[in-house]
Amino acid sequence: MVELLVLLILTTQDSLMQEVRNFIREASGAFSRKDSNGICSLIMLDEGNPNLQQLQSALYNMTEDSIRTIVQKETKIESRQIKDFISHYLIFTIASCLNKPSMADVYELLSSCYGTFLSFYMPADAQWLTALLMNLSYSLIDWAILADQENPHAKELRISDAAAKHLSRAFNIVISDKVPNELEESKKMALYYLANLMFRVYFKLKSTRLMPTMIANISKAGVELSQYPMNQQVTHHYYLGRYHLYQLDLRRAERELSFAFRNCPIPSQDEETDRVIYNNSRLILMYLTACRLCLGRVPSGELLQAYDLHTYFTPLVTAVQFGNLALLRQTLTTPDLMFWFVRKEIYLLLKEKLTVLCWRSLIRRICLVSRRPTDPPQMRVQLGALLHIARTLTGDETYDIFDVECITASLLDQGYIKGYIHSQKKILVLGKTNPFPTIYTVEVIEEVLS
Amino acid sequence: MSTNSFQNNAFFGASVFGNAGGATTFESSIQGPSMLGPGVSAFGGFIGGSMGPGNQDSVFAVPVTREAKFGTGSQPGVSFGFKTQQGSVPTIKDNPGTTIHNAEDADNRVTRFTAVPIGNRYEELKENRIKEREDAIRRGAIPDPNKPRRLEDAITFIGICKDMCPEFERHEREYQQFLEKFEKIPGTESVDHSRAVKAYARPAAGVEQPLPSDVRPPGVLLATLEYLMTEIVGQGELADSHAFVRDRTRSIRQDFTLQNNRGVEAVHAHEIIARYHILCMHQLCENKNFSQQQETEQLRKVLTSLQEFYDDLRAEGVPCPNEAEFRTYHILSHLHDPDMIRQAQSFPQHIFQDPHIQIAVEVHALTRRNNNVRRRAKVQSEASPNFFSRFFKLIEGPKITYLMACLLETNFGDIRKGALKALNKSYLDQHEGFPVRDLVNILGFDDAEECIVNCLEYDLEVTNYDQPAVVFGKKDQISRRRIFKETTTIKQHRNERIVETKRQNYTTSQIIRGETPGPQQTSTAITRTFSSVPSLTSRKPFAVKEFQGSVFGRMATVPGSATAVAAGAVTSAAAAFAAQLGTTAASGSATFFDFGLGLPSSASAVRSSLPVIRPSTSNDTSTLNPTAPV
Repeated sequence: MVELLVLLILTTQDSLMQEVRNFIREASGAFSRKDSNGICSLIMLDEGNPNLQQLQSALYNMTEDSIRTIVQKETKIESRQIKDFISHYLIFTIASCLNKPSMADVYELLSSCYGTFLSFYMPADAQWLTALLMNLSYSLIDWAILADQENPHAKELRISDAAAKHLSRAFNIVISDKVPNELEESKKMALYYLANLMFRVYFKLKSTRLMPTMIANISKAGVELSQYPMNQQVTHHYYLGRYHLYQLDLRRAERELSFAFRNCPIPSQDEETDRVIYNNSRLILMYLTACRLCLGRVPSGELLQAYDLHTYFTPLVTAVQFGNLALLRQTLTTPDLMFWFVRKEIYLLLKEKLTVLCWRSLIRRICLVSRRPTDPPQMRVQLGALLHIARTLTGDETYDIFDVECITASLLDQGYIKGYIHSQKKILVLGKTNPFPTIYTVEVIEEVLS
Repeated sequence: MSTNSFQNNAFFGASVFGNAGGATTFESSIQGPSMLGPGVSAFGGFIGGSMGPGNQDSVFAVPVTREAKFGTGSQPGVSFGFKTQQGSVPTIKDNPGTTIHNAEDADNRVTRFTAVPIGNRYEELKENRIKEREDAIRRGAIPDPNKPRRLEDAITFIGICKDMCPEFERHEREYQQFLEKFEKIPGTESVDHSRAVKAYARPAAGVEQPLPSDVRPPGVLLATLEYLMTEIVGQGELADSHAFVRDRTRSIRQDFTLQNNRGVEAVHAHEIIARYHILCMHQLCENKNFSQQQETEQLRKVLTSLQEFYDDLRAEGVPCPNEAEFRTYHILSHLHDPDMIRQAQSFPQHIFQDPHIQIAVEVHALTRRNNNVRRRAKVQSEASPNFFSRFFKLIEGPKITYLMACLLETNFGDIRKGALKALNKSYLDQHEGFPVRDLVNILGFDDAEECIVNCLEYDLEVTNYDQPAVVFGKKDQISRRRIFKETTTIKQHRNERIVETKRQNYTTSQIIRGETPGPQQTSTAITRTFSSVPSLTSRKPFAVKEFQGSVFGRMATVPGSATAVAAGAVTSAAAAFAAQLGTTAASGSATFFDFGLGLPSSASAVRSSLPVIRPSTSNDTSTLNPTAPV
């Protein structure tokens, strides 16, 4: 009985070993055949993959040394780097399936795996590994971010930082690929994929100041973003949009974000995919709405409803449309809304820009409403009236006639209102044609010193 | 102030510097004369200074063997320049002692005797340092420069210097005559060992690595700073000691860095140093020797270090009570950087909501403008407030502390430029000009003179009909573009009216220690110093009540009832204004132009030949302008 049990265990052990051996043989086979699809299906980094789970259970009882030995024995390839890569990968695989792994340790293992990979990805003929590079890079960043989340009180996101440096090595290999192939045949196929990953880390690390260099490098690489898969295009435009929004380059941010939003895939039937699509679209729309509001373009209520953003933006839209300074202030000081905006890092942007637009709309309202039939055709606004209403709306008694005069001057200066102020009479005299141009059409007046 | 400084003096004087400096001075002042004797007193001073009391042989050898560059047997290979003293050596050589003796009376000799650095031990200490360095390397206190090591194995450098200035440096700088006046025994060239403070040494190639005895531990650094702030800054003029304090505080920061000290002591020291720089940026901005750019550079460095310290300490759970205050200064010193203010949103909630930070946010929003000339890749953003009148009102109000105002003063010129530019586009030149007295209020100028000079610098026209006024909206005859001299930059002016008044009666020392009140949240109406709201009630009521319901028909919230615009105080305020202008505007147009522009005044202010002040660009400034506005 006991013997039988022992035999059973031994055979199970044996079949498990066989599993590992098979994996190693297949992997080395794929390497020697330069089989891109084969290697990608073997080097599995997606946790849900059933093959991966099988491999993990097969490896479960093996030690690091026994893995190295068996890799030495079974690989048919001479290259030491590839052998190292396979053993690193197997060791990482065990660690990643441990019950309570230290994320930082798992990251370290993946990191050395990634390092060895880059060492044989460097040569010009390694283009066929580009797909694997993208997969590995994605996992590297994923684990790095997980590892940093492990200790939220750390002084800095040390691991993500290290991962970003790793990734930039890969990025440099890719961007400097000089083989004049078709894009599909070039390492540059991974260019935007890697760039997007880098952007993701930069946003996490709050080091977006590194982005201009990246953007400049990419533009010098001479590849068109439109040649890449749409998902990469959308991601890239999204990050660029957010970056330009940070830099207050609203027009450019709008271009990038609206491209990203327009090209988000249409919901399919698959529930899981739909959820991802919805979340991504919502994320893009959030920044796009903030950006467009500042440019005076108002989203429809239905759109905001559909993406569950109406709670945040609808009051702002109303405030700007009617020049309701009170509602604007109230919305931006309601704690729930305020902290949502702050977390999304659009609070200060909205506060600054929408205040200006609100004043413009307020003056327009006053102008329209206070107009009497007996008035001369050229419209005018009593600054005193504006002051009175502004005080009432803001509840701020510190406003005086000069404040409203100066605010009006600033709006005139920027072109949001056309006309002039009569200082002695304290009247704003409006232009004869189109005194309140549509906000969206008002562009910054670029002056250049001659 | 005086009580304050006495207390602090007692605190550091007794505990930290009581022994070392004093003892050295005492010892050498006894040794000096007794060894050298009266016969060599005339030159003994500087020779003693160079060789130290231990080398008696060489002392007497010097006058004869000067050509050997002082290279006596006991000092092999050591040579040094004596440029400043060489002149006196030949005298001594030619007339060994006698002439001087005869020419000078006893009193003079005594003065000269005490004026020279007796007991300087530079040479001796320099020799000792070689051994000291070897020892330190052997003990592992400093890394061996010849052995590379990994970053992880880096040695934590620990300073052991107990004085404000390391002993070696005291002797070295006395010897090299690099002492500042604050470090000398009054009336002499000798170092006062209890008052010397370590100078900043630029880290450069070839400069040897500091020894533990060259670097002061945190406690000593704080005491040194305390000394600088009470005994040097707290006494006498800020301008007088500025260069000295600036250098010595830089050295304090350097010592913190060398020891990688990023704890509460470093925070405390950096906070004080930052406040000092901010104060100087306002107080000294008109000084000839003061460079605003250099001061800003140092201030930004201090503040950047502080940001890092706060981040680190927060991760360790150490509270920093002044964090919000200094993060605010950091934002305010980068007012043109859109990214800086965005980052404020990622501060912890309690910091973001702190009154300090909220003010920084407000200031930032009010001052953003997009009517600047495009420079490089700087983005001009849509819907920028440029609410300059609100900005200056905020400065006047209680929310802005004195130090914030000092720091923001550096931006006044730029904000006023944006303001004048906007106003220039909002008025027609055929109308009467904008009264200077109102502009003084709105843009926070000290007086009408400053305002007018500013406007003239931008090629704006100033008239004086009834009252001085700025004519906005003048167009160039040919290009039809509004005249505004874009290239003008106005030098910072030390503002009395809205900045300096915030100081109240606080002493420099109190300000630097942060003993002044923080932002006041009282939202009581701030009336301008001399407000001149036109009497609105005298007008026909402008139909406010009629349209109140309909404007916001669809709005939920219309707070409050109509409030009448106060106009009662107008006349008295105007009178106060006239008094403020004093002899200029109040006494009429004839004297008005006498504010140093060198312009003749034309009392005959006939409307057709209105006196117009022209910008002083051409020599032929003052003439009447034939195209004066009518």
